[in-house]
Amino acid sequence: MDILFIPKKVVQIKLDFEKIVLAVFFGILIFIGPGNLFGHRIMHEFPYGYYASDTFQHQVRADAIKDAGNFRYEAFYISRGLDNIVGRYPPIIYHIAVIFSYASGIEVYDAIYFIVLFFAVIAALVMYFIIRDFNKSVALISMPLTVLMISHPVNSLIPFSSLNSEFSTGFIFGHWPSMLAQFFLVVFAWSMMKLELEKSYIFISIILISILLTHTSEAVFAGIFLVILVLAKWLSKNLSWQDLKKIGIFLAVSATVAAYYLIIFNYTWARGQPYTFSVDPVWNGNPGFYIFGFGILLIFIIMGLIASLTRLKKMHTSLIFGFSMLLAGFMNYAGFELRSFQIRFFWPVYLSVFFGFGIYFILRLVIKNWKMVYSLALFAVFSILILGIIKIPGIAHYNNYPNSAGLMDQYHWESLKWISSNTEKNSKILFFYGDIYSQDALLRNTKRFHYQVDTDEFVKALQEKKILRDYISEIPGDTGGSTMQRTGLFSFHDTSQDKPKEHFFGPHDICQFDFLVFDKVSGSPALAQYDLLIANDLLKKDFIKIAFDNQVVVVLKNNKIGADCIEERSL
Amino acid sequence: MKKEVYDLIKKESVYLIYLISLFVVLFKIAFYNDSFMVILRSIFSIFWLFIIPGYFGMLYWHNKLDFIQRALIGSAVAAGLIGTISYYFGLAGLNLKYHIFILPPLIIILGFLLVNMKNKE
Repeated sequence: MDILFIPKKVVQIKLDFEKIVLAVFFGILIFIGPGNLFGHRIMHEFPYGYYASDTFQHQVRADAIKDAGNFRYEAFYISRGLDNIVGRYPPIIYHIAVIFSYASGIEVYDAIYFIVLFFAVIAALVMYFIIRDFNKSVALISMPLTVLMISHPVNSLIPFSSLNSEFSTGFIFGHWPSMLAQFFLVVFAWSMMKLELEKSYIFISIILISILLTHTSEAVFAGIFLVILVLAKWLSKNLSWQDLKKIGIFLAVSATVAAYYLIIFNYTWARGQPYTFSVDPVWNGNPGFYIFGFGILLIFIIMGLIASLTRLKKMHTSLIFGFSMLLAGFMNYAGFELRSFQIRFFWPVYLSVFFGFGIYFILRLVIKNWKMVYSLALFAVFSILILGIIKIPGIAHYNNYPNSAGLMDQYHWESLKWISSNTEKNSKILFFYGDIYSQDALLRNTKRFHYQVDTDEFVKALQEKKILRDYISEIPGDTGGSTMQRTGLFSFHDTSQDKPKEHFFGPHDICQFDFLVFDKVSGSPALAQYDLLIANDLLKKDFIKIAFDNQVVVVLKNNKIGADCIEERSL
Repeated sequence: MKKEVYDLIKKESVYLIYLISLFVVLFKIAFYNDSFMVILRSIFSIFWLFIIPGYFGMLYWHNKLDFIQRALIGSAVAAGLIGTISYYFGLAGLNLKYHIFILPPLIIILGFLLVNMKNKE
């Protein structure tokens, strides 16, 4: 009995050690990911760490869903003032964020961001278990690479690559639905690895539905992985009828459950942004990730790719998944444009298997009697290097986020919240020039129908030294996937077509607005001064009053809509 | 409920408490600028919405999967289920503010039904 007991104890100690490593790694990822990005706070006074319009786009939508209690319709202030526009964005991220906000008591703008980063960290751990099923040593060596997923930017000092290599864009620029869907994609890979489990189609169906309803394009990449996996199983004579039956069941269940949304998707996104073949080596206008960004670490990844080919006949799911996502990340050369660039944000997770396997494979050629302690040592060494504790030129390592709140500040936030809480629901708002207003989704936090002056035309008027009554303005709403009303189960109508183009972009009389918003400070002082000149001219009329004022923003209320509110003049 | 499952839940409840404790320590380090109450409420929300329902949802496979994997994958399954069911419940007229009280218990019940089904088989 004693002889049997001792080895069991040893095994127990080993397992606990693995858990300790996982716990520490989880802690590191939470600290350097959401911890650093959020200024080591979960709760903030205003949207924190938001660096682009899309971050606000998702935040506002989640907030609107919280207000409405469902996602039947897109809010009118998101849809350029159009009513009853069908909720066409994949809904899961917003629903989870709202429910998490209710449960935790934190604002939706914190909840949605936290959810995305938290599950990205969980994705790294799930990937560890996928690789562990292949080889525990490889899994340990692979893990440090996943740190790069939350790096801002990757700093590999590659002399021959002029392109930025940026992973954190996925978070700070608001590719959140894609990031959350890719978490589900990693879990999908794990699920397919466990296909042989009894009734596995239950959890696989749930995960596939989650991908479809979080960011539908990731379902295409899940499909690519599935096809390659089935082909690999078939070629290695490991594909059973039982497997095919389960695959058939989860595909049918997923399509059925997601059908209601997929109909909407088909009539909005699929028609608004149809597939067209194109070759886009560079993601114009966006800091994306390019394979050379891995620096010297790419050598290990390539070694892993080559080593994987030696196992072609019986390739593990983790390797097939890695190959599939490598391919998916290069489909920008075949018309997948930004969808492929989005996949690259998760490359440190997907390709970690090749990184670990490459190192392990080479070292195993030299070290015949491999011990787990070697794997742990390599895990420690690469963690130190990739975390940037010791920086070696050419090796991609973690970089902290800028010590900044992002686009928003407490003064702008106060003004936006004031408008949403203190104005009539049908008020019309006009935003004059503001440095942050080019990221126009943030203006939707007014929850009111709003226009903004066109910056180019505004600058032109300033150069011509004129104060005008009609400024070229636009309604900066969300038109992605087109603004459709649902008129039947399979019929939709684009209501924006019912209005003249000038309604959305053209000269607009500033005297027709209930509230006019001006920024007092700007990186371009002349524009702020011009803003204040117009505001002061407006205040000469006794029916125009200051409604809200702080150090940065002033909001004027026009109590006589349509009356002559400003004298056109030259400066 | 079969005694085997009951004993397993009893045993693994301790693991869940360890896991909550780990979260408390790690979150307090990562979010050191936040109050303890904010951290505690966020952690309880993660467990209430994702990890505990996910744990019960994956209980059916307890013989084949260890606790950590069931907790990790379960959190994904619970997140996906909560998002999906919430979407349809919302469309059916049930306001989202009630979902926090309905969906996690619903997933736990479904998990129990599934594992009991296995026991009957």
